[in-house]
Amino acid sequence: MIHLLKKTLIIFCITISVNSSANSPANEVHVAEPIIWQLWPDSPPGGHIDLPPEYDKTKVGDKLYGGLPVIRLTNITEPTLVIYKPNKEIDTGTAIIIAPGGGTSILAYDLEGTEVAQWFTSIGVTAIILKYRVPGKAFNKDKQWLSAAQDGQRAVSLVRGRASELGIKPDKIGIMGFSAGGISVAYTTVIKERMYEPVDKYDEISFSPNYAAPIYAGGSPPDTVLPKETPPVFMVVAHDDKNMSLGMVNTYISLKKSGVSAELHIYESGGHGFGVRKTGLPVANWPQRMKEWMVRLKLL
Amino acid sequence: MILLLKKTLIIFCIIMPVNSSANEVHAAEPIIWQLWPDSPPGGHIELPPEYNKTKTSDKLVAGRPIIRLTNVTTPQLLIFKPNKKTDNGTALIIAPGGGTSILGYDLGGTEVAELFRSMGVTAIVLKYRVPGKAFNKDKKWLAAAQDGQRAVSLVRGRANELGVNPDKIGILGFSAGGIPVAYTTVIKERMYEPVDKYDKISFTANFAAPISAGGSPPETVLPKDTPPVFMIVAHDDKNRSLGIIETYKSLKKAGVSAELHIYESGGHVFGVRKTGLPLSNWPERMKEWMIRLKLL
Repeated sequence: MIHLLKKTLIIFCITISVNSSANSPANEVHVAEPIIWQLWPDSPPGGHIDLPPEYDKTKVGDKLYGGLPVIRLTNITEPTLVIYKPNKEIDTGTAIIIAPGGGTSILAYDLEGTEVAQWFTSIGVTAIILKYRVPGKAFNKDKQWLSAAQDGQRAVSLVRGRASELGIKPDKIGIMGFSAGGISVAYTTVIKERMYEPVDKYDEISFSPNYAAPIYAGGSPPDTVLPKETPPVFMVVAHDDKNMSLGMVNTYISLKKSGVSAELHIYESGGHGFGVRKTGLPVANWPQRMKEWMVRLKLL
Repeated sequence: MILLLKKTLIIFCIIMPVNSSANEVHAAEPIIWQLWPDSPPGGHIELPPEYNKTKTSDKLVAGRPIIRLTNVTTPQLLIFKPNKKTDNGTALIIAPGGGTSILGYDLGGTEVAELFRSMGVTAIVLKYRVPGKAFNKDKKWLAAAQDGQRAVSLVRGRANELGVNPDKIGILGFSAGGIPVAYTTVIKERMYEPVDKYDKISFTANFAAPISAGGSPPETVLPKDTPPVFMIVAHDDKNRSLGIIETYKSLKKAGVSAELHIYESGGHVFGVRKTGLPLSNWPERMKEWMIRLKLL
């Protein structure tokens, strides 16, 4: 995978001119060699689906985010966890699983994956990119969300089951998801039913995370009753991101009514798909809000 | 009034130890304007003299007591000008909370004024009439609403005297201070008979910030021309976040610019004091928002 990713990046850099100063932090991310775990011991639920090779769909002329292009990976048939460890001196033992967005058709792999991982490792968190299967409809025609849900549940069980290998605390495993990455968040945080048949001993371990952060994700329908034992939830969304904030507000209301710990930041502007890039808008400082929240919850 | 306030402060300082930073706030001499040329709407109400109700046993906020003024029969504006070098022409009217029975005068007034003054904003503490029920038995909110509307009209009408841009006058209110905010932001009806030329001037604020305030009922339809709104509330402040979130929904549905931060904890009464909680950085959020809206 890392070879493929590097190849993708090389092609990407040849095809698209990116200014060098902006490009260097993105490169740094890829300099750190991640640990890679296959998510499933054999084929994923539903069996192996044959698709053309994984590739980056981004073309010259595609919309830029924070002045930079976005890697849009697709045809991911073998989901993996891409694990970035923080420096030993700052390692807090807390882990976060990061589910990139992309409408279940692609993964915004740098914008909502590696760049986010880089930020979390800088604050002492083991950052784990959930490279879930896309396009979802190729795996489940009428349930395009299902592969993201299954891969998300498996990810939490596997990370918790193998926590000692990573030097992380099994009760400090969080999950965050951007946009469609919110599927993986929802199915591990408020859904109690495992969406696949257990395949090994790791599936005996809880897939509920210890904290959750849906970021500009779809919310729950109005008046959804959420379980009281839902872990603490941190949410960020922009007011000008279509009607996205109204969905997140419904989730907030349901959490409040269930007595679940929650924090919600709705920034005046920022649109959709800002990741952790510095756009100059106040919303671009949201990672600081999350850090403060994590400190408050003794996750840092 | 300032003499009375000073006297109150002196008594207060004798009874309770106050750290020096709290004193600094009171060191800046405000300009004082009477809100009404004669008696306020409803006429003058005779009450015992204004005093600070706080007792030694009262709850502290960030380790310090709160001035709880009551029997405010003569509403005023206390205007704190920023240094000329930093003055950006924006003004903010600040309505302290206190359940319409008292004013949390330092916590939700002078301390907040000092903070905004340091950002180059002309900070104006709205010393509205309390206890509200002494003025209008069955409408204890009315005195706060009238004083709030009058405050915006008066500040806008006399903006040039203060070197304030009449299009950059905001209002911020804590808790019950949300009443003056609501009545100058989403209510279009003036709640008193005009008394002079200033009442011909719009009482609608150019930006609004209800903090720890009650929200609107579900499905309230708000005017499309509501000015931008910035809201802060703590998740653990009883059910207040559920009220303010209804306001947020109504603003969103009306297409009004809005920002809302619900912090995981912080309770109801925090002002701008440093409690060590992430919530206590909310003034930074408001500053960023004001910069974004070109108010700073």
